Amino acid sequence: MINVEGKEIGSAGGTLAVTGDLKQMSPRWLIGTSYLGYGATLSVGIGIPIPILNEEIARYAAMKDEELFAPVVDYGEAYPSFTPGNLGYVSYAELKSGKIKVNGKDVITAPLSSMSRAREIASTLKGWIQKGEFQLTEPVKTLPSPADGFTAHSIKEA
Amino acid sequence: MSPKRIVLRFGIDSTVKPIVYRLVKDYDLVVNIMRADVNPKKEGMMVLEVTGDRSEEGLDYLRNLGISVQDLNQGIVRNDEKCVMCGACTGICPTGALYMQRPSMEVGFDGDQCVVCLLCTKVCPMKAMEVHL
Ligand code: SF4
Ligand code: SF4
Repeated sequence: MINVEGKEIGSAGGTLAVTGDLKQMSPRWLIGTSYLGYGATLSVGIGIPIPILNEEIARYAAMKDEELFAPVVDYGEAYPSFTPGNLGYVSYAELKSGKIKVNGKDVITAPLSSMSRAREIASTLKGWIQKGEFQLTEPVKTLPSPADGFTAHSIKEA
Repeated sequence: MSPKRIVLRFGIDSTVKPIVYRLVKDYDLVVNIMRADVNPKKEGMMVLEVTGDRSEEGLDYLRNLGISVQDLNQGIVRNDEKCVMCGACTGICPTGALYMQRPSMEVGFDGDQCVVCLLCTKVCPMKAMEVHL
């Protein structure tokens, strides 16, 4: 991610595609939810261990809230009408403070995902790893990427 | 004398009576209307904050009119089994009854601050905020 000054900034966002056996999952980590104005969806709690294989991974994994940024997106108008761009970037530290500045104005922030549940998952995973109960397996199948001719399509909203 | 927050629910016939006026005039209460949904020829509700030595008498007067009187903090409860402390409600709650605790990022709920606006019941993706009548 590049900010207005052309500086590279840490991107905190990402999308993961995962598969799993529904029947072995606990309802504590997989909940059917409904977001006002969005619709029905699933809230998933998932823990991913990051093997620190080299200095670069260590540097990225150690990034603090102050170093991780997210774009401010106008979901009211710009996003549904495919208008590119954003209203600037804010760090996770700013977001978690409860207030950010957008175009000089204070705007209240609220999270959508649970920090306390995330910590619970992280400590469970840590416990498994320390006890040697967490084992890595070979990937079942690799996911398609743009290199495989995979393209994403957007659905235009009416 | 600390203020008392109450929820009134009334039927079609009692909405025409000047109840707030009576509470002030006859029972010498300080009445603050926090929320009201009153329409002619419809059932209505009102959230009041009343202060005064004779508040119990005033509430009895309302009950005698057939109005249901309940303590406000009984109105909205958080189902702690369902709440995952995501925090979505904290951006919309107008009084700060639902709030982020920092730095733990856990969500607190202070029923005393709640004015039963019901916004959180619509916003909560887990449907954890429940109305108890
Ligand atoms: S939005 Fe619902 S689940 Fe999220 S913190 Fe508020 S009450 Fe809990
Ligand atoms: S009903 Fe309104 S005031 Fe009460 S907790 Fe929910 S959003 Fe806050």
